[in-house]
Amino acid sequence: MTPLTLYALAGAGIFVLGLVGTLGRGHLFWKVLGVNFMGSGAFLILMAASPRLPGGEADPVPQAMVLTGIVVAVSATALALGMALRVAVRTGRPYLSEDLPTKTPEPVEESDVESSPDRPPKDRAGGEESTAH
Amino acid sequence: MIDILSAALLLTGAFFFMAGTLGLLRFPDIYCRLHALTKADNLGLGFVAVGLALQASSWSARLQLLLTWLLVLVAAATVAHLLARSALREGIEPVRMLADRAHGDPDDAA
Amino acid sequence: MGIPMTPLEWGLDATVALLLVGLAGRILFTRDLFEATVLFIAFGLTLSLAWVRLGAANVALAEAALGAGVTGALFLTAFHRLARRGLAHPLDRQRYRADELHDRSSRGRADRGDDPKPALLDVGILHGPLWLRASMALAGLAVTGGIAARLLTLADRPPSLPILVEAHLAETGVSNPVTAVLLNFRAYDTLLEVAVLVVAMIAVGSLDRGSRAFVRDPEELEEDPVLDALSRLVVPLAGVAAVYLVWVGSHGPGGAFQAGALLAGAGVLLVAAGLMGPVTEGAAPIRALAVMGLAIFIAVGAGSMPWTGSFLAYPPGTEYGLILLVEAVLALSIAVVLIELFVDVPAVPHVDPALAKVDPTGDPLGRRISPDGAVIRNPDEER
Repeated sequence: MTPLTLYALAGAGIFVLGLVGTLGRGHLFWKVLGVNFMGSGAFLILMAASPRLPGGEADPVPQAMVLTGIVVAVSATALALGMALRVAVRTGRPYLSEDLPTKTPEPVEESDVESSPDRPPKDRAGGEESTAH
Repeated sequence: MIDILSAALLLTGAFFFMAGTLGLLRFPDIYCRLHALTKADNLGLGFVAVGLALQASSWSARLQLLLTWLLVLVAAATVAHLLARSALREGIEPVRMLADRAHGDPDDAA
Repeated sequence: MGIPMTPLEWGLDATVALLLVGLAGRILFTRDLFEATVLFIAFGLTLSLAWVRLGAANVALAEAALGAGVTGALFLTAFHRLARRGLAHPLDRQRYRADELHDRSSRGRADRGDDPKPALLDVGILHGPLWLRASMALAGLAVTGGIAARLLTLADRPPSLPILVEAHLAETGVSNPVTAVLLNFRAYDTLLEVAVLVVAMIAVGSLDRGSRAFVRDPEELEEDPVLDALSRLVVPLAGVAAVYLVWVGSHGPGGAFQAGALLAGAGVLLVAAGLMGPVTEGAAPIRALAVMGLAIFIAVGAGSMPWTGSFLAYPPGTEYGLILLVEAVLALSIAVVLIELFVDVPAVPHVDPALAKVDPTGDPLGRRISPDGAVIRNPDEER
């Protein structure tokens, strides 16, 4: 196994880890991190699977693509992080409401939910009414 | 001859990196750890830089190595200072102070 | 590279590759957001090392400055914002049944008196029922296996694209093949990617219209002579290095993206040290600088059409000058966009709990809106 294959395999592992993190974690920051890892894994595969030039230098075409890809990934991360941060601050929870498990509604209990005051009740209602999974 | 000298310097550098990492893992509080990491790693990097400078093909490459080392020195010192300051501000007490207080030595604990 | 080398080098590559996978796994499965953020920066730097080992120095430069530097700074400031709202402590370790979890998330463990912080739950499929987690793990293994099997059976092809690049390099006006691909062969791609950057900046800037906040509150910022001195030393050096990178990009590793990334790193340092700002999204010069790269790129591409007959083709003889011009302006614009993203992403308006109680059904931020549309910051002003 050449070092190139090694890095390509690492790229595959990182890509799948990122996919699992994106789909499997509820916390929005980890979802953003997961998408970032999927990108890094794809870049690694792209670069390691391309043939080398005689001098050991990597193929310039995937190099250019990965280079711009990194820049675009940063801007996408910034946008996603900005939205995740606003969801967290405005609802008091860094998750999407679909990720919160729902239970059978018990109207009696719904009234005593006033523990964290910095969250408008309407957002919480949105979280509880949703039916996920 | 130069190869041997260079290898010796690189190994010495690696030894200081090891020592710094050991300090990071074993020392009791953030201040000691910062001390170990910053001091040992800066010295280690110096040895590595000199070892590589012996192998460098031109004086401009040696100058670049020197500049890199100086820049890392300044940056590491600043980062260590910032980390220690924010740790102090968060109320993390140095381990000596805690120990002195535990032994009822009012002079040092004050 | 490509052929197995000395055991030492093989060991180095194996270590770097294992470290990358291990870090990714640790970051994605830890419950401590701060740990994840710090390790993410370590991952970026390790990946940068991997790019060097793969013979891609151009990419390594950008990865260190952007993947580790700017993205890391973005996550750190976002973490800081969450922490100030009490939303960044490590997630609750326990795995709850759905009923129990719901009770805890709505009531918070604070009410039970056993934890001063409200519960921050670890939710998602990874905390669902066992069969769901098991099937997710199996699916992940299957996808990894599939990709790995394909990679391992990949035939050893001779390089084809690089030969084409090599053959036509003389016509591009530059001798760095990566710059030739970026600004000549595939200039269309690059143009659209710069457009993506500008769109991202506009989108982030419009997340909170009218509530531009500087990333560091003035009262929070303290005089720090040491940090000041570092910034004053490093930022001019970064400026010089950026100019060098744009120039050297025509014949060696470097170019607009790396120079822009470096300048952005310097700008982020200035903003974090409180030496630049408050930077406002509404400032016209900033917006002009941000779109200037795109505008000049389009102008050059369209302006030479009478001579070349096609968009983004440079007239023979002018390639070097035009590419250098586009690269210089692009570097500046990329830096401005990235700094602006760094400033805008954490700019979350403060949600005053008292105001949220005054008018819970109105503005999602809990602000009072007066009839003429202005935000009433202080409820007492109303009277």
